Amino acid sequence: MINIVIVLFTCQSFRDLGGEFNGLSSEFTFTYKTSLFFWLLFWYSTRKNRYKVNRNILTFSVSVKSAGEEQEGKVEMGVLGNSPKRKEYPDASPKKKSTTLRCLFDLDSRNYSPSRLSSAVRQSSFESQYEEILSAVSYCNFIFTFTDPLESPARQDLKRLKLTQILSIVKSCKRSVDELLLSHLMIMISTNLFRPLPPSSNTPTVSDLPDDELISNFSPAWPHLQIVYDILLRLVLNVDPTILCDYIEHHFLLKLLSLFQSEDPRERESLKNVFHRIYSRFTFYRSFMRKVMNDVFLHYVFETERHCGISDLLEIWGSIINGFAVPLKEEHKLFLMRVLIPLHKTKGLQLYHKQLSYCVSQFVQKEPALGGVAVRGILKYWPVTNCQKEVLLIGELEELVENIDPDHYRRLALPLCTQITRCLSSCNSQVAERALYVWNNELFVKMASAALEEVFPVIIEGMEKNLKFHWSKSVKQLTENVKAMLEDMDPNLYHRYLEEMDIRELEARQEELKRKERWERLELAAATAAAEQMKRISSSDQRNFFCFSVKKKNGV
Amino acid sequence: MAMVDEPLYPIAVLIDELKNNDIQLRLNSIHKLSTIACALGEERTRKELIPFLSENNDDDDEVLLAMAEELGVFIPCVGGVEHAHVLLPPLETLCTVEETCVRDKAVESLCRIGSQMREGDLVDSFIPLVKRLAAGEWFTARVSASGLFQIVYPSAPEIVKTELRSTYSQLCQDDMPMVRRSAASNLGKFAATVESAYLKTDIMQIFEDLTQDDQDSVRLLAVEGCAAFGKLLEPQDCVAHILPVIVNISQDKSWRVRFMVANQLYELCEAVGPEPTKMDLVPAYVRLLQDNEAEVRIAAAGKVTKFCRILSPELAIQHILPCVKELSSDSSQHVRSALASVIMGMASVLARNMILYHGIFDATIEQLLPIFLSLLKDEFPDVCLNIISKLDQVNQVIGIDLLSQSLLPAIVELAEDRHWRVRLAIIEYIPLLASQLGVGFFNNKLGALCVQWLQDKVYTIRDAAANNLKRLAEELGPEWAMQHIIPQMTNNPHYLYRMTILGAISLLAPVMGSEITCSKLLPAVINVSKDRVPNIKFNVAKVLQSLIAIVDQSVVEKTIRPCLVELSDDPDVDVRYFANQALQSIDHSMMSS
Repeated sequence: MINIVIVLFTCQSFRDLGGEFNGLSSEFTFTYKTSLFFWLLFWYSTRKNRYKVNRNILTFSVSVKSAGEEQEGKVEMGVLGNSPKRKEYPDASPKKKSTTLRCLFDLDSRNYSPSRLSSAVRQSSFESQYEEILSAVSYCNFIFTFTDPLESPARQDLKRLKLTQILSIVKSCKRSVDELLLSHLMIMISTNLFRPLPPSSNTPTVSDLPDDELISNFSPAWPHLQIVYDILLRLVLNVDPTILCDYIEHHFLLKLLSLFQSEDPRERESLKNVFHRIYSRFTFYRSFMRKVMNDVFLHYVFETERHCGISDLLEIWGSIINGFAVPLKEEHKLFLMRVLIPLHKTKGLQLYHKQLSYCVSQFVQKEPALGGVAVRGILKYWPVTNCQKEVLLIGELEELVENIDPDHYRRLALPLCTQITRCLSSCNSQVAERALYVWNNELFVKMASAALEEVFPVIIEGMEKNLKFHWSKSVKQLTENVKAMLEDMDPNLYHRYLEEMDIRELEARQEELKRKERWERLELAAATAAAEQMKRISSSDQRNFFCFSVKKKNGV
Repeated sequence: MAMVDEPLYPIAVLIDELKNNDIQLRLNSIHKLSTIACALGEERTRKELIPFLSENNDDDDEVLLAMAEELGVFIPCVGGVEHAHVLLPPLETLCTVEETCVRDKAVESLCRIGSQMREGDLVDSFIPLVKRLAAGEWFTARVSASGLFQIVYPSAPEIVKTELRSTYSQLCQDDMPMVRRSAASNLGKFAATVESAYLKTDIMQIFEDLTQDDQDSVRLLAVEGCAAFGKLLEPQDCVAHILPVIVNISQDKSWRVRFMVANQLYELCEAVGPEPTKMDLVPAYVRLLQDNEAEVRIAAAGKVTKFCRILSPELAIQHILPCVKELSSDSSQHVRSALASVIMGMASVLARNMILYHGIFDATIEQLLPIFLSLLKDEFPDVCLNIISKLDQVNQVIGIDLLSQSLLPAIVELAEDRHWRVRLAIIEYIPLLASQLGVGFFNNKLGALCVQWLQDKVYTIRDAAANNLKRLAEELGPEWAMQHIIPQMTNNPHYLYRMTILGAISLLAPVMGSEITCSKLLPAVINVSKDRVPNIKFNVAKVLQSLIAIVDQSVVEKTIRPCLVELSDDPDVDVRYFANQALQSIDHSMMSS
């Protein structure tokens, strides 16, 4: 809130500087708007040295001085941590600051021809500038939790300012960043990002609410983290991967990946961006990155069912799969079967279903033959009681059918239609309606008609039951419509099966009786076998006792 | 029917059933596997049934789970332990399926079978199975493998033992975290079978590596087994090797790992002995008590009494007590609640050497008492309840008088809490309080409170209140109940409350004895029998029925029977029904006597 107040205040007093404001904004493109204002504020205060009444402005002016001069003190502070009020703020010395800023701006404007940066840094006039940036980087190694009341907000703002400063430098270096600076930057990034995540704010694994925002837990240190992520992103984009891979190694990637468990959606969004960029630029890490992402999925599906970032990771996967060459490698097909399809099993499916179904459909589009595997897998993990999941999965099946190889229609028609029929007579009217709407899909109907003889008995039975027993009027109405459509497809067949329905029911009942009788005979046989054995071996052996206990258990 | 003459093929029946679409039928038939086996006989079970099961593993996870379970107790069906090895192939395939429950059950069944198998068979068939699983292509097999090592290791020949150890250590370095996790959580069991010479070298190395894993989920599982592992070692080895690892990992970056350390630390103290505990573990534990993360403090606070029990009282007073004081005003209610649930035990722990440290002891009580009191006044009901639930522990040591003054306001506040579960909880502790505090405490306020609960808005509370009266009467004697409860049980305009009182009477009567029942309770019941609400009237009939056994025959004839006869003419059908029931039971009891 205080930022906004300052910004308002700044706007008021800066009215006369409108022209310069415009000029600046064309030179710098900040992602973070308020930081622009801070820049302005800071710049203005250093040049005019007028608005020291405001405490924040005062702090900003101090910041530059301390960055330039008291490097030692700062390093110490980074180590010692919690003593925010240790240092007295001396009065700002405007002269020094104004040169500093000039340099910065000069540096920036010069770097439209970026190759000159390293040489520019070496020039003596920029040496202090360079030092300053290094010290700013080391200053940023100090972590603010934003939860400790002892932390001074002024310091927090100062760090943000410095981070913004670093970001603009990194942005301006289009091709190369100095090695020393790079190593400092990467240390700073690691210390800021790789922190232990707090315990989950809500104990239940999945919220019933599909809205992601409601269950999210915002990270208090986000104002700093955001800029750090931006810096990392810039480095990934600008610096040559062969240089950067000294710093971004497997361990770094693993830690980055574990941050996807953050409950802050903003952080996951940034992470997703960075991680994806790394994947696309660091080609030599690709297979490693795919593997570790898989580990996260498998851990989620088979062990914890607790992870916030599945949807974000799947989004990355969506674009990875998109880039796969055809024909697909065996490894990637295995990924579909062993990882993506089991992901349909968890109770948290709602949170990432959109991304997941995109991934699956990408696979099937690339290789329609995989449709069969996908459909069977989804049918295998069909939920028993979770209606919301059923609705989603019906949608996914419908979409898959559109992409499936028509040669597979015959084989898939029966299992698919059996499941859809089960759904269309579900007590949950949403599920039933969704399943009935499937019949509006031409391709689905086409698929069903490929094996009409097998499919019809199943569907007709479901339809007739719905018409007789379903509680919901609208379901009945929809069933009526679908029935009319199916009748049109092959009226003779339809009526034949309709008539046979009673016969089949009778047969089923007889089968039931037969089964019962068969088991009775089996149990009798088991009992006699056990008794015979008892007779044969007079000594009471353990297994005989066992057989008797079996008999008892089965009620003979 | 014609089918009766059909020959019976048990295997065919099973195959047929397993093809059915209805999963319930498939499950049923799997659960009857032993019947099928009995009918087949041992030999055909081995030659036909088991191979069929080995191939038929493409079913629903639920069916596979049932199969894994059944096969675990199948040894008698295949002809005893000498044929147990035939059961291994189907279970091996079940160890590689995706679903975790199925795999776990298959491993459990394999362990059960393996522990009965003969040594030679283990070597011939079980060890190769473990090796195959450990070299499995997909993680599922390798995860299952790590749970089987402890079965085969003891009977393996020396050369194979070396191989098994190195295989296990490979599993602990597997590149899939799932496998490492499974290996880490099974390490304790495996270590228990390994010879002590290798414990110090091989297993120790594995343990150290696991505690440095880059996944916190692996590290915490390694910690979970540390105490068990530590107890296997000689104390000096434990101090030399395990202790530094644990002290180090107690400052792990991940709170989950620290949480686990906080849970395990007290057990480790037993393994390392008193001196290292004092030097290293106490500081580590104090750090955990002051951890930044509330979850860790909860775990640490919950173990504070167990930890102090191992320490000498001076150490506990010097190091732990100050932290406890701080925790009692912790910002997290869950930390306070965890502390409250164990803190009462502290008094007795610290009082162990009362005579030796008499001066210290008094000081301790002086320090503990304010903590008790502040927790008792906590705004969060769970905290107070936890203190009250353990009152008996503190009573033996410091006497309850010191607490009683604060106790009463706390109880009164809880008794009027907004949430009925809190009220229920306090009601359930009332008999405990009664036994600890004695009659004197109950005379005034609490007696009234107990009766007041009978008029609670929530049925469960009224029900609990009636039970509570009965237990109080048992605890404090009928005399007390006569004086303090019965006079306060008055009639209420609302029929539900009148019914509660009837219920209370039927519970109290057996405790109070025949005399008081006749003189006080019975007249009250008879009085209510003229109520205008039928529900009350048929409940009167029920209560009277229950009183028959308690009072004299003459009273039954003189008072109860006339009343019941009157009720049996009631216009309401239910009242008539229950009155007749009661009359019948009078007749029964007369006949039997």
